[in-house]
This record gives sequence, C-alpha cells and structure tokens, in this order.
Amino acid sequence: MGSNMIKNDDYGEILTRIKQIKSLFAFGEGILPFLEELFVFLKEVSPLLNDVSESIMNTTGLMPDAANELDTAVAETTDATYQIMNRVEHIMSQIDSLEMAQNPDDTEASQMLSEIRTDAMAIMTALQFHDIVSQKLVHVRKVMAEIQQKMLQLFTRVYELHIEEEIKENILTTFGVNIEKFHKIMDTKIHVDHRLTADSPAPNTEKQAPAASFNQDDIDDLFG
Amino acid sequence: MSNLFILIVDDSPTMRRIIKNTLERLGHRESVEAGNGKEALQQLKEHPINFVVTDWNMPEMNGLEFVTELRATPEYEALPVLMITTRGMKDDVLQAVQAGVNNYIVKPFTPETLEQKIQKLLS
Repeated sequence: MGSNMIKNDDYGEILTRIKQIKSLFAFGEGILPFLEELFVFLKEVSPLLNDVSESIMNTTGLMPDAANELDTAVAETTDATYQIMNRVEHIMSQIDSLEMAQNPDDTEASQMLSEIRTDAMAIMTALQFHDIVSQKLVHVRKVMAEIQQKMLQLFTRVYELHIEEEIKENILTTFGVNIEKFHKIMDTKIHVDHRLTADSPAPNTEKQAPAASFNQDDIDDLFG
Repeated sequence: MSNLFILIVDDSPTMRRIIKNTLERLGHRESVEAGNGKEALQQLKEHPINFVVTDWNMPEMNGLEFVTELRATPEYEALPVLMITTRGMKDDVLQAVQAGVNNYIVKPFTPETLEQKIQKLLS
C-alpha cells in the first residue's frame, strides 16, 4: 500500500515534470526572439540589476531616486563652486587695488601680491574639475535612464509572453521585480517606458566605440 | 594690452566664468559669452568678434556644428577658433580639425596653455 502511494506520488511528480517541460517548451518558443538580447543585456548590466529593477518598481514611472540624487549633487556642487569663485574674484580685485595703492619700489610686497594672484588663479582653474565631474554625472544619469528604459521593455515583453503565469512570474522575480506592483503598473496601463523616453534625453551616439586617447602633447604635435 | 574681442562658447556658466577670468588675467578683457552654437552665431552678428573659444558638447547646437556652420559662412572663414573640451580621443581631435577648428585644448587647461594657444593662433 505504502509502496503504491510512493509510486503514485512518483507518477504525479513525473506528470508535474512533464507539464513543466511542456511549459518550458512553450516558454522557449515565446522567448526565443529576445533571448539573445536578454543574455547580452544581463551580462552587461547584471551588477546593477537589483538596484535598478527595485528602483523602477519603487518609483512607478518616475525617474529613479538615484538620478534625482545625481541632479542634486550637480546643483549643490555648482552652488559651492560659485561661492568659491566669488571669493576668488573678490581676492583678485583686492590684489588689483593693493597693487595700485602700493609703493612701486617695494619689490617684496609686489612679489607677495604676485604670488597671491598666482595662487588665486590656480584655485580658479582648479574649479574646472567641477565642470568636468558634473558632465560625467550628467552622462551617468543618461545611462541610468537608458538602462531603466531597457529593463522596462524587457519586463513588459516577458509580461506579454503567452506562457504560464508561474513561469512568467519566476522570470520577473529573478530580475528582482515586485510582481504585485508590476501587475498593478501593467493593469493600470501606466506606460512607464514612454514617460522615461519623454523625460530622458536622446541617447548619445557621438561616441560609440572606444578610440585612441590623445593627450595635450599629441594634440600640440598635430597642430604643429 | 590686447585688441582681441573674444567669444566664449560653453554651456557651463562655471566654465565660461573660468575662461573669462583666465583671459582677463592674460590681458584679454573684451569678451562676450554664449551657451551654445546658436547663441554664438547670434553673438557674432552683434559684436566685432575676432577670436572664438568654444566647447564641443553643448545642447541645441554643439561646438562641432557651430564651427562647421561658421566655416560655411565666407565672413567667418578665417576667424580663429580654439576648442576647449573634455573630449580627448584622437578621432575627436581629427573631427574637430576637419570641421575647421584651428587649435584644440583638452580640459582641464592651465592659463599657460591657453595663452600659448592664443599666441600661436595670432602669430
């Protein structure tokens, strides 16, 4: 009796497995068109996957918090840079006034003022780093928006596949997607990707392939 | 000290201010600013500009498009253009040269490099 029960269970398990395999075939058929794209994409962005997908779900169509934080960082450092610039410009104008008022024979004072001016200019030119870093942050923000958009496209395509709900949910869960929230998003027809497309700047296609880096000396040689 | 009237084109107000300050300290006190290529073309119509310092990456009309447009206008064919940009790839420099840029500086720059390039273009 006991062994019969085990056998029945075994059959049941086999049937379940067959059902799962059948579903897998159906899944395979449906997923083939974008399977390659999916794996290439996973390979490239897997370290970011969890954070990004969670961010997408949390924000339900708004730009991710991380992007907003980058914007804030750029704005705050810009303010700080302006404050430094104001101070440096003030120092420079004070040096100008002192130079006009000083005794021309006082070479020591002239030398000192000249050094202070050089230091002030060095601070001013060092502030270029703010601009350079800001540009990099803006670029990161664009990349994030593009990744976010691609993630949503993938999730949506998985969601729209004609496969068993369980398999579909397994795939989405693997991506770290909150299924309940995602259902809500899809059911209420919030086209997050469209909003993201509208909010995000066009992808920068100016630099596609890595190219040889030039330093200033190379450039000087080029221009003679 | 200088009879240059310089047009500074950069979308970053911070960078425009740095360039302007540096130019002033180098004795070039006459300058106007523009935030992109379109604004720059407008400034060229309104001021007797005889030297241009421009960035590459800018919204609306970037530096490369601006220079290309500039070189297509007979009036500005010989106007000296110095590009100051973060783009330091060989292809970038060659592209800039093809567009008509006369010299090129990769950010961050030093006042000495800027002065040296200006002098070279004026000589």
